Amino acid sequence: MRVGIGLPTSTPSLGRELLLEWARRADAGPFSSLGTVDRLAYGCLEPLACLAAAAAVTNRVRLVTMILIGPLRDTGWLAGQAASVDSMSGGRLSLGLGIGARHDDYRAAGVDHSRRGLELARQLVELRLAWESGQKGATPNQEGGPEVLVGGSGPAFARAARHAHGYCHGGGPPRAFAGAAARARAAWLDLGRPGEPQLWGQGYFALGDAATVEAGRDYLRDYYRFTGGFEERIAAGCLTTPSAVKDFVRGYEEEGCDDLVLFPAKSSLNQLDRLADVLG
Amino acid sequence: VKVNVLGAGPAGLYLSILLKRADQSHEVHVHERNHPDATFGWGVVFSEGSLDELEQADYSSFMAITGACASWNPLDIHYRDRTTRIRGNVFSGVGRARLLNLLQQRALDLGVRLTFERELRSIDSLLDADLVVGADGANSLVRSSFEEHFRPRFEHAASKYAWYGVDYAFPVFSYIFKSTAWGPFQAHCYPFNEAQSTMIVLVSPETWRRAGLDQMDEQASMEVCERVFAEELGGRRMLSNRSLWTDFRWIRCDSWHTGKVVILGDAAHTAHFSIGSGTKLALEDAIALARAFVKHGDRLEPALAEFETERQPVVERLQEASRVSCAYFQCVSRYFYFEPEQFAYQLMTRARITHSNLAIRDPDFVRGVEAWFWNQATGERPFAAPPPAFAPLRLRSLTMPNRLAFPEGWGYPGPGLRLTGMHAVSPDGRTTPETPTEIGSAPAGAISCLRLGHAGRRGATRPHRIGVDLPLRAAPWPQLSASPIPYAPWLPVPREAARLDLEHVCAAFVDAARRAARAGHGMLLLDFALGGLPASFISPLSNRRTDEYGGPLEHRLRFPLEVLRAVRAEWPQELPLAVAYTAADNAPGGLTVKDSVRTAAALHDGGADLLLVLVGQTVVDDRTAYGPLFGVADADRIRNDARVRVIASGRISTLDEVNTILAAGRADICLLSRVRQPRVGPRADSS
Repeated sequence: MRVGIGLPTSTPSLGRELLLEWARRADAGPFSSLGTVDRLAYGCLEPLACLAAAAAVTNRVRLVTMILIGPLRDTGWLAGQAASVDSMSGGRLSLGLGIGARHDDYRAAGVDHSRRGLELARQLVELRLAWESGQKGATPNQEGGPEVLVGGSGPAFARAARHAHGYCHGGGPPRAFAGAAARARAAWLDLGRPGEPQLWGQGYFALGDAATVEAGRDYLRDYYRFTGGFEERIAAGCLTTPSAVKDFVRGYEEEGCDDLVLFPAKSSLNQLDRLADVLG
Repeated sequence: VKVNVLGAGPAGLYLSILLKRADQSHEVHVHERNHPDATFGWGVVFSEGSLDELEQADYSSFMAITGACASWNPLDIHYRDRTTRIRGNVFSGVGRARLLNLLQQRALDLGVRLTFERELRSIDSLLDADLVVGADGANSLVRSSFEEHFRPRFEHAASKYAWYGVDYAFPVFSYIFKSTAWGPFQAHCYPFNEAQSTMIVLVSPETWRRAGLDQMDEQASMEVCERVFAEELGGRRMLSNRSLWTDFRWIRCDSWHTGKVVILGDAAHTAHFSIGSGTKLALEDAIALARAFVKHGDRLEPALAEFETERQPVVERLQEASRVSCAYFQCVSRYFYFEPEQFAYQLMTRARITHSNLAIRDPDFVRGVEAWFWNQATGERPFAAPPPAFAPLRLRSLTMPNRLAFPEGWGYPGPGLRLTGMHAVSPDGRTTPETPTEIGSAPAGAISCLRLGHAGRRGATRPHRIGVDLPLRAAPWPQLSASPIPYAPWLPVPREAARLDLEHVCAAFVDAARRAARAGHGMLLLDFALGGLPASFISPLSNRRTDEYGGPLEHRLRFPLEVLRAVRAEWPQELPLAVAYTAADNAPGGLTVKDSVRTAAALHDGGADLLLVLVGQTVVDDRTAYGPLFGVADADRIRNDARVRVIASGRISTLDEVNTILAAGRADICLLSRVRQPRVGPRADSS
């Protein structure tokens, strides 16, 4: 299993220097990928813009959206943007797409929420056709377009199997990942895909003294406030000690995860350094 | 810390004991609307050694409770004229009143304040505490006061039940199944002391009405039950105590706490009584809540979050098992044609117990079932036999050496049925340009089952390496379907198949069957599933025709049955013919498994010896959940409602699962799914 790290794109106190230095250190460190989250109706940096910036200062790590809310975006523009990032990163983009979890993002984008599932499916096909045609935006570096992942639950398992290279889980303990991964594989087999889906997992961490940990949890409570009660469980699941990180990584590895991305709950470069130390 | 607990049931009392025990300075006050000795529902049962946790949590009450418990290890299944006894289970029962009295006493000894017989209309008077606990049962006032935070969801089970007592200690936990003129009655009975038992009677709503129970009062209802179960009761009377007919209500909440208010036990979640876990869950909730509280040194928010995080998955798993168990007992009459051995086995393995679990509990019983299964398969009467997966199956003149089917591409998977990928009956029926139309000769070493189909509106797509249902850049062949509705918004509109098209396709099936026979394949599998051309006729989602091939199910089945009969006439009489079909579309307006029982019967009458039961893929955005053994429940229903032989599929990957499915009569053959090998070794290079 490879382990990557999230970019601080939605935690408090964002900025150019933090983002670029974070990306440079991740590329130099033990990390295999840089991930982004996506929320329109929250103070969140735009994922593909950030990955473009990260592409410019990195040479090695994969750049992954976990996930990007596809139906909020015009498919033609999205095809061009993703192809551009893929081209400028030398083929390092993994485009994770999902429908997201919040109505307000759709309201903010002025997009109909009711048909989002089928819209995403249509978008996945149109992206593929656009990349192949080379007509929209730059030609992607990866043949046929960037690697595509689908996140979510319910119909997302079949959607990943039908349209993508793999499945991207939304976070939780290793056991929750295992349940979703088994469904993703079952859908893959049921739809007659050869081989195995790429399986991506994610978690949050905040390493340091009590104040750091509490600041991280406060951010998670705020970010997930819309879940109406679930935010406490997400905050409680934040990895706050080296042994919790190690147990989590081991747990995901045992459940067959290919790529695990750990997202910071606090914007501070020492978070990246501490995680690098733990992972060795 | 000041704690107000509403409800002096097991959850509330036990929590107050544990909190007080942890710190004598806590002020714990329990409020209960009933009298201390008032209780409804006779005895409670603990299954599967669930008392161990109590020993750790509070030794004193553990000793008192276990001292008052009746414990037993076998259970009896009374079915037809036979009683089957199965050993190795761990049950204990205790009178509910006795349990509560013990907990009350322990709470008082520790200094918990108990107030009885005060009914609250609002919880405002409780809110002056640091922690407010709703342990007030399924009709929780605390839950309903914060409904917008807890967001409870309710669902009623279909069957009717009533709790009775009886002045007779059943020797062990007993299930009784009775056929009556009104319909089946069942009772779940367990002793809770030396002299008394709880007796829960279950009936379907139809039986309930036919027996007139909907019109009767408590006494008259009970007398009906006494007559139905007279034999097992030995003429003894039943006892009622508000034993009214009710339907079980599932309660699930998105959250169990808000601010300083928390709910637990039945207030937060219910689990069907047929797995005997309600009291167990309530006590475990109390233990987890008290532990989180102590651990976080009365910092409430993290403590309550941790309680919920720890308990939610456990409760969800149990609720799921109890949902499966409840569904089983509601439709148990489907299995009333089973022999007693298989009936008992099916009951035992209804939710979570597998073949190997059961073999550890009661090796003799499982040996007996294996021998019985072997006898059914071979006519021999061995004392011991290989497990069901390895029993042969005779289909016409073909004898399968075992009950396993493998998809092609597993190399040499071992003896069994080897299922090829779909072969198109004609070039226009191909799914992708790589779909074979030539039929190769059957490989040696396994029985080869050739899958024949026509992709219909899912045809002319790209090979599946990068995706499925992705159109070819230039569609080189036209797609046919029952109606001109595309499979997905991005796929071309298919042409509505005309009568002549159907004749051609039917002839192509027959021709392919002839070639398959010459090539030495032992079995044919006609693909009437997964949204292909024949399948498009069966589902109302893809068939809007107004001719004789559209409309009611009988008409929609006309074309698939024409193909089936024509192939049956061509395919050698001594060889079996199988059909794969979609039993549930898992989509709004689509076919459900209930509709598909008739389809199964029609396919069987049309000459199908075996049905491969599949689900989903009729439309592109179906809701197949791909959970554990996701196709097996549907296969079970088709097999036992239509009385046909079926192949089950859907995340079946271990021999233990196969044995369990076969011995329980859920399927006749299992199609295995490959699982990913766990990866071991050093971490992959990240560069």
